[in-house]
Amino acid sequence: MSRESLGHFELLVLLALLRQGDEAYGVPIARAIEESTGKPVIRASIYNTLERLEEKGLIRSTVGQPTPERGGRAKRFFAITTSGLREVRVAKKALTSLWRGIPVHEG
Amino acid sequence: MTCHRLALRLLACADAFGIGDELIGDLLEEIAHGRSRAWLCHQVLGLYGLAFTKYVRTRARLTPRMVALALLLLLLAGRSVGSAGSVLEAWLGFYAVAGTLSLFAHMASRTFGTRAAVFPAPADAPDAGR
Repeated sequence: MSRESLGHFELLVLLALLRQGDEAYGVPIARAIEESTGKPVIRASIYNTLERLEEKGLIRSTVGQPTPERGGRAKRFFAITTSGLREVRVAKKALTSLWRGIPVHEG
Repeated sequence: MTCHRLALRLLACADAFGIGDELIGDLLEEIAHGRSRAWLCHQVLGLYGLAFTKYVRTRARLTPRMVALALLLLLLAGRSVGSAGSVLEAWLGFYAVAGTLSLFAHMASRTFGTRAAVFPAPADAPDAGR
């Protein structure tokens, strides 16, 4: 497993993926990020990040069935691995400990 | 041809450029759910931009060629607005500045590399295990 810490966007993608459960593929992941950040997201950047996370062993993917709505193209479903969950917990712990004690965030 | 039509055509032939089926499928699905034309143009622009960046990054041998091509285009563009002498003069000035900066960067990287070799971290020291 890579010991590189997660980037901001990588963490957003992992959290959005966790929220979707078994139905996590590009569209709902991107929408969850757009809803939470309020900013439009380039779909290609989501896939670049997902590819990188898969190379790091933090997620795994499976290919679904092609559908006519998607021009006969299949969905790729993503799921977080044990290493991925561990990295999310580490990131949460680090962020929480850094936020604690900052007056702006407590008020 | 409008931007929207061009974007649809580019999307239709995106798989020829190594862009994944799942990404193209996602975009088609979102278009079917009523995404705007501006949204599609934005996405296709990002799609090709990122695909190009990835292509250049994964082919290290291509990068010097791309730099050489960019410099050639820059020189030709300069030649179209100024005389050959002034273009050459500007080029030599740029080369001198860029070369000097590059030399300093190289020397700095060697200095830090040497320091790491002379003063290794405790775990890397030869007698660390004794």
